[in-house]
Amino acid sequence: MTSWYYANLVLIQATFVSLLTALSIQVPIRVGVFSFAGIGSYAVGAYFTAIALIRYQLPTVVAILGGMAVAVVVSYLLSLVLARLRGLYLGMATIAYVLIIAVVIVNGGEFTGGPNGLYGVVSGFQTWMLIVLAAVALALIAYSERGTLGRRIDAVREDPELAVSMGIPVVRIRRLAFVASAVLGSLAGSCAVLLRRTVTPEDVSFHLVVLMLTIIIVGGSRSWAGVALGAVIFTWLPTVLHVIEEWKTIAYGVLVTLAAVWVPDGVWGLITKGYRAVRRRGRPGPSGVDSTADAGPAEPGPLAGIAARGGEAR
Amino acid sequence: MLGKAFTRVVVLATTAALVVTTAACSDNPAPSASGDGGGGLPATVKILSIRQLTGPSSFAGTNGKKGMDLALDEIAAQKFLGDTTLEVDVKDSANSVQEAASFANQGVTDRSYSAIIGPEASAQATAVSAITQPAKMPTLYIQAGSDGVVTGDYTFRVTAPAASYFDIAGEYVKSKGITEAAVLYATDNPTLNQLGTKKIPELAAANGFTVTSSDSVASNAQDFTSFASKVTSSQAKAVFVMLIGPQTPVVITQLRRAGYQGEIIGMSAMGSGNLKPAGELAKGAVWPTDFTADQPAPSSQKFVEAYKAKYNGEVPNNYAAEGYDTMWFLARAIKEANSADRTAIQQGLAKVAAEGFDGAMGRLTFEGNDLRVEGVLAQWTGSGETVVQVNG
Amino acid sequence: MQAVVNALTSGSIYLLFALGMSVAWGTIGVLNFAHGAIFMFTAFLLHTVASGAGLSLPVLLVTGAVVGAAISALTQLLVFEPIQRRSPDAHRAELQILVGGIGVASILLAISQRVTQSVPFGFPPGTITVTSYDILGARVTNIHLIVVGFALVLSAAVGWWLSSSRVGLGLRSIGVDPEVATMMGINRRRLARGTMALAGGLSGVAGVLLTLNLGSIVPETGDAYLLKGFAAIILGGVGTVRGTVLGAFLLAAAETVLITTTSGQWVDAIAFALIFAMLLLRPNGILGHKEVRRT
Repeated sequence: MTSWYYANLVLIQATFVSLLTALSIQVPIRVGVFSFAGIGSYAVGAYFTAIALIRYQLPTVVAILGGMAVAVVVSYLLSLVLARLRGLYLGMATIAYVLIIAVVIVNGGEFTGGPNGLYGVVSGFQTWMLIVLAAVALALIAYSERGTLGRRIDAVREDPELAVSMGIPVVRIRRLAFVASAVLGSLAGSCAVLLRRTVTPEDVSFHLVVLMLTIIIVGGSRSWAGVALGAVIFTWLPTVLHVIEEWKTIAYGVLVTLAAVWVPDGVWGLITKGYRAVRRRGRPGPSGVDSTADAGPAEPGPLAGIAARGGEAR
Repeated sequence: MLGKAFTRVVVLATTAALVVTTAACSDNPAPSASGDGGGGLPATVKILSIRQLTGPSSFAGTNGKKGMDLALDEIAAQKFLGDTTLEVDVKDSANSVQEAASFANQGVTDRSYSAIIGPEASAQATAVSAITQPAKMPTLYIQAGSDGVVTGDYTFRVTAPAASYFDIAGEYVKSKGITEAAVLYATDNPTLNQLGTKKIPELAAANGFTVTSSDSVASNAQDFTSFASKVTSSQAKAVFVMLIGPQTPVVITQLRRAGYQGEIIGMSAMGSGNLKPAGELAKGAVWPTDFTADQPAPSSQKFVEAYKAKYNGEVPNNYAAEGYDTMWFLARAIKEANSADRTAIQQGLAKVAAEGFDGAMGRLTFEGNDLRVEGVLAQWTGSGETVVQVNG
Repeated sequence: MQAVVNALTSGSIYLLFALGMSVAWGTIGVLNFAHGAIFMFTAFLLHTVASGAGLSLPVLLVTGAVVGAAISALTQLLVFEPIQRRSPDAHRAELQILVGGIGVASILLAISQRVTQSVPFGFPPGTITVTSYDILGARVTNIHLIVVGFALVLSAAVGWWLSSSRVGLGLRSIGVDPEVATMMGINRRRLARGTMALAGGLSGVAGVLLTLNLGSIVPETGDAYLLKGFAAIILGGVGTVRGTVLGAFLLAAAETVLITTTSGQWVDAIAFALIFAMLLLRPNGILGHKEVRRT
């Protein structure tokens, strides 16, 4: 078992880094904020940490927290500037923001290492530290999916106007989503750099945005569990596909397309539905309304009764 | 409430474990013990080869592999390592830095591997070096031109940096009596960036011409019409285009269509048939390269003949030559070390590098762990490549 | 003057490419991520066919339109429609459709990469003989004229069709309110397929023209145009033909200005910065109207 662990260490690390990165996008999506700014925070965290360690020999903790601070400030400002946008438009604005950062990095000359990137990051950071940090993040996020907080967040996502009228601080929650995204994204970037010891401009690209979106949608966008599943699947899928050799890139595309069509709630949604179906089989129960309502983690919240109007009944 | 969350976590963990186990089962089984320590070669020496066989760099990867395979054939046929066979495991990292790093990690932890031939893409190579150098695993690279690849005594690069044989381009410009030249380079590629911003200005100073304009683009840029117009209406009689392979026929086509009639000088990415789509329009373009099939050195010609014989008359390009020389370099080092032990092989590599040897690219010498070759000026004939002699 | 010619040409390519995306997005609400791949794949397929038997230019263009339309309509049929059927609400379907498009794009990219190994491909040299004219001191080739001509004619046609023909008006009504449109007897499914076919056809023509203009492309070329397409649409306004025309040429003009006045490494950033600024100031684009569909 330990030899398997060491042989696949890179993939294990990648799984947790991808998990944190994907969460940095899924958390805002769950609040109804379609923002990819988490990837920009990944870049900020990664490059800040690399520069801090290579050039200024700062302690690792300072490097991580410093990157996080910069990312949080930038993301908060972004949230103010983009406050009026919604949906796909907001998504595009944040993608544009990420791509601008990517161009700035490549043209950053000596400071960012330009097209070469930075290498030679030496630190005492270990894989188990990444796992612990990821676990803590997951625990906090899982907590936010339950109870009152979970229902409030769902309300902000489903119908912001109604939520405001119920006294939920919608604007504050949306801004907090940006901040949470910045924390998660920069943490992912910092850990990635500390473990891989290098960072190149290719790490931050449109491709990463696409990959994260795929992870979230195929894994399941409603819950951290879906994101975790997605991260595991897409980190290990290339390894599994190796047996097909030259056809693996085509197979990858086919799998993603099939998943998008056949698994609308993500793999996690499939599992929870199957699980509920199994549990329901013994029970007589009334009409299907209660057991089929809300496949997500939060129980039917304050808007459940009105949920049917927008075709939300599942 | 707790039960629900708990059950969910269990389901998730089981699923994750299942996926991961499936992936683990598709890996190779546990390695057998190899002949460690010095004193004699074991029956098999295992090498890990991380190539790009699919994805955007697949042309470099597949041709490099063809050169390596030819070398392997020759090594076996000549019994160069006695009765020992060189076993090469080829892994395709496609476009993924993560896959390359993962293979490198597996190669390092699996003690049956004695050396790694690393990926061509710079970003992947940088990630691989970060793993293999600290783990003291001899790693050889072809292509991979950025910093952060040759980072210590266990990493070697068997593709000479373009800047190291680029002087011939400056001499060419001088021999044509040209005094003004324009430069266009891809800013996000380390090699091209360095050529455009540092090497060419140096050549200008040394060969009596001035750089009248220096423009940069992204390596996925396709529209050079503005640049072409700009250059045509300027005084420049030579244009240096430091771009990646796919961009080269496009920029030349647009330059000629804009009416530019001066010299066009590229770098090795112009070779290996990349100019075919531009056909006759690109006739006369020149580029310094580390290998072209017409180059006169006897060891090069021998390689070309052997390659044509193995691959149905196909003419080798520089990727194949680099792969061939890399495999031979490794074989010589293993013979010198007379062992499959990683440290012994590293010492063997250092020794062979210090002595130099003759290969497909001509006379190969090393500066530290980085290759140097004579280099040659290739020219596009409209349908193929030929060699240009530069006077002076 | 030369700069104007260049800007017009590249703007025309952006226009043809973005037009299809804009119409599909503005009416049936489908953002087809595979649009860039279809554009490239059409050129790839034609290259494969043309290498064997030389095709004349008109044949190439018509075939390109047909092939592009077919691939796009197939994607709608096999991928986007099932997604929309299964999904409970439009917003979630949007994300699924995005990922579905990503998947299709990956497949097309992988196939063309496998066959060409990312070595540049184009059409045989005899396909078109390039002649150039001197107009007002600028060098204009017949390819320039063909590209700009096609773009303007096709966008005028599409614009007229959307505003005047029965089918076009029906399409726009779907964009305003899908349910009411169905009640009015408009067959949404057929119109959606037709729209995607139209978008794909425009994309295919754009791919052929681009390949002619540049001489050669590679499988990875499609992705870059996807982002440029977004920029053009956001700039001009989603769903309006006039907006897309304006956005495309505005983008091309901005890029050309930047290339001629600076050293060019920030050109990509310009497209992104324009998207960002526009979304900030006028999310509906210069000529766009407020989206009535509830997002």
